[in-house]
Amino acid sequence: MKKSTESTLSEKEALREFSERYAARVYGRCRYIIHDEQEAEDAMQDVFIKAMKNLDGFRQEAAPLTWLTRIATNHCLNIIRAKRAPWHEKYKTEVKVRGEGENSAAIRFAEDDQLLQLCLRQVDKDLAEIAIYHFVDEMNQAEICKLVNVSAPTLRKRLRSFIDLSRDAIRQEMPNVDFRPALVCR
Amino acid sequence: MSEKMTVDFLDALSNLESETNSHISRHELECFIAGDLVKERRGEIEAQLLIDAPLKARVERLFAVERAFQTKMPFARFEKDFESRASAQNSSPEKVDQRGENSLLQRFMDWAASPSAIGGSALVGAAALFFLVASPGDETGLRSKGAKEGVKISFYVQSEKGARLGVDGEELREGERLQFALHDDLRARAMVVVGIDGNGQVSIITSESFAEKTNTTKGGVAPKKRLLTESLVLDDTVGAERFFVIYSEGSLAELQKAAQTAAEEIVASHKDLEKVEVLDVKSLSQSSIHIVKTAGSKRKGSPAALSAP
Repeated sequence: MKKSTESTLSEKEALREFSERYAARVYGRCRYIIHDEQEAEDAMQDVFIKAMKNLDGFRQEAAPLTWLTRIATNHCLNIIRAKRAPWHEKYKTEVKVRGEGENSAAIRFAEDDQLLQLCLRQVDKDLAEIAIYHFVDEMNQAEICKLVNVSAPTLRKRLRSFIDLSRDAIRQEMPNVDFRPALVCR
Repeated sequence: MSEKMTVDFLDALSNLESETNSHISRHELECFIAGDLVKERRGEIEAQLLIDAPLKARVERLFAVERAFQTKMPFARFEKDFESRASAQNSSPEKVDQRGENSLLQRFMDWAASPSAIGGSALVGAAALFFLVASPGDETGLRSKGAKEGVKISFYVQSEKGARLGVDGEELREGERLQFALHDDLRARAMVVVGIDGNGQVSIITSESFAEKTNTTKGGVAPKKRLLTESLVLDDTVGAERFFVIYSEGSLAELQKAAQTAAEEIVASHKDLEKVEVLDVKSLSQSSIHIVKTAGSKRKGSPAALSAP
């Protein structure tokens, strides 16, 4: 294969490669938090623009996608908090409709995911961010600690806080929800 | 009294406490797919994919999400939206709209591709995907025939920065270079890859005889896919273009002739290349993928011919 001697891409090629590598994942994060398709697309573009403007703030020990994911998470959490959309009535309606005729495994997954998304709106942004990295991105302790620059004990404390606040919020609106006994945090 | 719902995810602290080092997070898999991992970690995950079917399934699901997004938002639309939004937010023209080598976009891409970056991987798709199709313990006998029983042909798009796995149905342009990867049918004695382009031109891309191979001892599909040495530089023909791989237990000459005839019949009957997936050929198995060529060239002076790398 003929090897190119050019060291830089044209801007269009750079944008193309950028979108191919990161757009789907950034959009996925935006869509997860915001829900609305068009708003998520707008948010995705805003995340890229933000990244371009703040390139000097990029910590080179993080992977580009990790950095972009963090920008997207915070950007979208700010959006939903600004909107303070009412969630509980919509949730009740969706679960009730979905509960008719579907198998329990499908309902369980949908419920947990919806519950998580709804809880994100009820807590501080710092807690919401960590919860997303843990529950959605499945990051381990070390990854989250490095990303948000906190210690492991602090991480566990914040995650415990998220869980407790989320349970309270859910119990207020959904009395028929049962939780397993809470674990004591060491 | 209504049944109580139980919520499990909120007890995830139990997972947090008992984390093992072998856990590969969803995020790390996404970094892997994006080509952002350091070489050593990428190699570890590739090795793990060879033996870990659930992990492979997770990665495939992530790829499916990516394919769905690329179908929903092809690059042309992404570019248009990006520029439109950047212009609308333009409070600092020199930072957002700057063009040329020193633009932030260019700087970002240069950094992401540099060896000093944590990512540093130019092979966004090729290395990662090479191991994805390895199915541990998959030699359970003969696979069913037909394109829908398993992808047997895929392609990589080569660029100056390396290779990336192509997406079925994606838009490409004149001058882009494709390299095919095959998941061989081990029963076959002959294989042919045949292409039909937007002008109805039928081409035998490559063909092989497997008379001496070990297909008589085991059935099923090869555990790894292999890259063909030939690469294909796209010409200026626009429209859908489809590539079929066909495996046969007959002779190579017979297969070549049958594939050529069947492809010509597709052309003669004006079938939509975006929809037709198989050729009417007696075969052990076959599969196909397609691209959509759009107007505009990637680079000037590219020969529209097969060439060895």
